[in-house]
Amino acid sequence: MNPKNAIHRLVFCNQNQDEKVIKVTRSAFILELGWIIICLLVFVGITYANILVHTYLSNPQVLDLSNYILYCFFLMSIFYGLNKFFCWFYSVNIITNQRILDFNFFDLGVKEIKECLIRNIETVSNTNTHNFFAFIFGISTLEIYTAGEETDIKFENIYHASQIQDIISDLQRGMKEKLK
Amino acid sequence: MIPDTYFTIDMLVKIIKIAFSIVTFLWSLLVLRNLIDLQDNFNSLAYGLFLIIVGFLVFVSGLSLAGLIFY
Repeated sequence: MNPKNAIHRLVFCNQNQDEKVIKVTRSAFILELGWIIICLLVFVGITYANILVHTYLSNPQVLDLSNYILYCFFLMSIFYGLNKFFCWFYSVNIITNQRILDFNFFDLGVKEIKECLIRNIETVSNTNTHNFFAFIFGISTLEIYTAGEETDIKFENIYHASQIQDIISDLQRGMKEKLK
Repeated sequence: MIPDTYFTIDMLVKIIKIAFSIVTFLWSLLVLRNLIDLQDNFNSLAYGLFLIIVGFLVFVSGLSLAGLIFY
């Protein structure tokens, strides 16, 4: 499938009929290492605790309970990891021909959705975050400042920030010329 | 009066297992609900795959809870 067609088939909430998606970005997955390490530690820790129980205890009921608790913790950590992955996957920054949207999902039911019209954009700045991983992997943050009462938007920890900055600048210029 | 022998260690083990199962099942349902909510905001093409994975895990946790209660 042509990736361009895939982007144009994307639909988000409150999308207008004549609104076309130009670019979709999300934060770099490499910065999500924290919860992956937590999941792995839970796996290793619980397995090790179960081995200790099996080594030092011989009561079949206790062993049965230990196995079951291990199974439940495995399931819960898988769900924790899946939930974190979904939050990362659905936290997207969308650039359309009319506006810019920033979807942020942090945890179960905690979300923040910001949007601003292209014509209200004042400046776009590209800042390199003070993070070792960000420096190594070429990740930076794009800050979009808007006029009036609209909130400023941040595309945090994204790849190819300068390319996206260029797209937004072109859209902004095109919109201003159209309004003249 | 309930005799002392009525509450056996087997029952205690089963109650603890059911408690853990309920927590796991509720947690799985919350993740499923969150996935549906996320998809409402932004329609992803990978939703079907995510739903199959989460649905299977919800089924597994629900089955283990039902197994503990009914058998």
